[in-house]
Amino acid sequence: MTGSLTVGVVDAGMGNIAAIKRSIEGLQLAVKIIRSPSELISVDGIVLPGVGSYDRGVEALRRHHLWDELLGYAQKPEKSILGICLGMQLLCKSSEEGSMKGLGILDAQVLKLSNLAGYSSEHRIPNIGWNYVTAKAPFGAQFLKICGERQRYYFTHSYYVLPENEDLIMITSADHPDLTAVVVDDNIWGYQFHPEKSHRFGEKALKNWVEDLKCRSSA
Amino acid sequence: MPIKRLIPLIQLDAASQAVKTVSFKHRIYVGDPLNLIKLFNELEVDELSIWDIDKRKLRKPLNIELLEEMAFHARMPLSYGGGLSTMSEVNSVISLGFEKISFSLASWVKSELPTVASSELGSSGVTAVINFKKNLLRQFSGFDHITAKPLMKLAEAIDFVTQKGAGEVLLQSMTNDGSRRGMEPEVISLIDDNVKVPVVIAGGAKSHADAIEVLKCKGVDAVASGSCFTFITKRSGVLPTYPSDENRLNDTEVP
Repeated sequence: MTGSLTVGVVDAGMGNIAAIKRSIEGLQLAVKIIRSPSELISVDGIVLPGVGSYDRGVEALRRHHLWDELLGYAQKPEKSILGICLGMQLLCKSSEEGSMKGLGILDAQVLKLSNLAGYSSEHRIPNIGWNYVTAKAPFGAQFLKICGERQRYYFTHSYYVLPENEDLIMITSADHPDLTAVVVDDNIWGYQFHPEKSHRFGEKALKNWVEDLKCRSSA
Repeated sequence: MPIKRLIPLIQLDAASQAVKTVSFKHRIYVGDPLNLIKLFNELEVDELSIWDIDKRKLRKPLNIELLEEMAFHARMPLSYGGGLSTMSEVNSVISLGFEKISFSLASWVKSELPTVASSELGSSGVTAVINFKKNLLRQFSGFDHITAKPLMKLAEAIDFVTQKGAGEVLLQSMTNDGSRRGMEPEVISLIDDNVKVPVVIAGGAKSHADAIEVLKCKGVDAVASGSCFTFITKRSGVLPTYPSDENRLNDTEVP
């Protein structure tokens, strides 16, 4: 692997670890699988994947004693966390899907897609499948410009992220202007879609986060 | 709407080889499922659905090693179904890297497991597979494909599984399965706005062009096929193929 960066992929039994590992290694970075708090110390960035329901995800992180460590890790500007799908939602304060509190690293809520104005009248829920995306902010436009061709990603979810500050929404689904696809708050990134399962498009999305991580680590 | 999907199906037999059934009876050997996954990776397929067609009948354990390898190599979303009988098995499959779990209508009728799985994984992680054909009264019905017994009328089956927590419904024609004689237009016309979850149609796709035409139908969110993405001719000449973006996206997407 070129460079000395290592990305930690959290394995709390709720995500597609192997595919994410393979994708990150394809970007020439070393990967460490994180199952305990002590393993967080040495990594330069963390990917928090997630498949499953909200409370189950919260319980998994607590069961692995990763909760407080993730909170501390997020405070370090030279580090970065990328949450994917449920992982992104767990970074938020709470979710209408569950009763437990989220990490609160992102000042955001997770809300039902069925309550998103104008969504359920035109769409079936869950949102399962490939969505084109649209930039909502200059950062999002730059993100997509770097990717090159028109981007589409694989989504599978019934809830969506709404930050308190909507300026943090960089990219939305092209299907609805308020369906958050990418959130960025300094060193905290979130992708609602699964980049590890979105072929060449997802690889480019992952690469954007990795490139930011490299800049951050060398600053 | 999301871009409508085309989903290759891989059926695994007792020897963990990929096969293709015809009308749920005859089997045609396809090959090594790992090779298929690698080829479908190159074709950048929308999604891949894997069904173990012998696990339930033979009461086989999960082939964890194979599933792990499949998930490792797959760069597309994966779903798995076939004889899952405990949450432990469900959790194993998800932790290996599969995005969705499929349960047949019979499982939804006879067990609480699919509903529990939906609660644990979120409904987006659970698909109901309704194998259908016409009953003695010539009405489309959901069947238990192992016992060959009808379970309920098709429209009732869709309501039933949706109420029980299915986040997606896959309607598989038992009669046209593997036949390449076309998908069931009568069933497609039954899917109306009352169905609130994504609907996948499977069974009988003649060709890529036929599958793309079915995708244009109102109410259809995806088409799944084992044959038309696997065989060159009707039932022979294994060669995974897939329509290009140019051939399918312009007609079926919402720009």
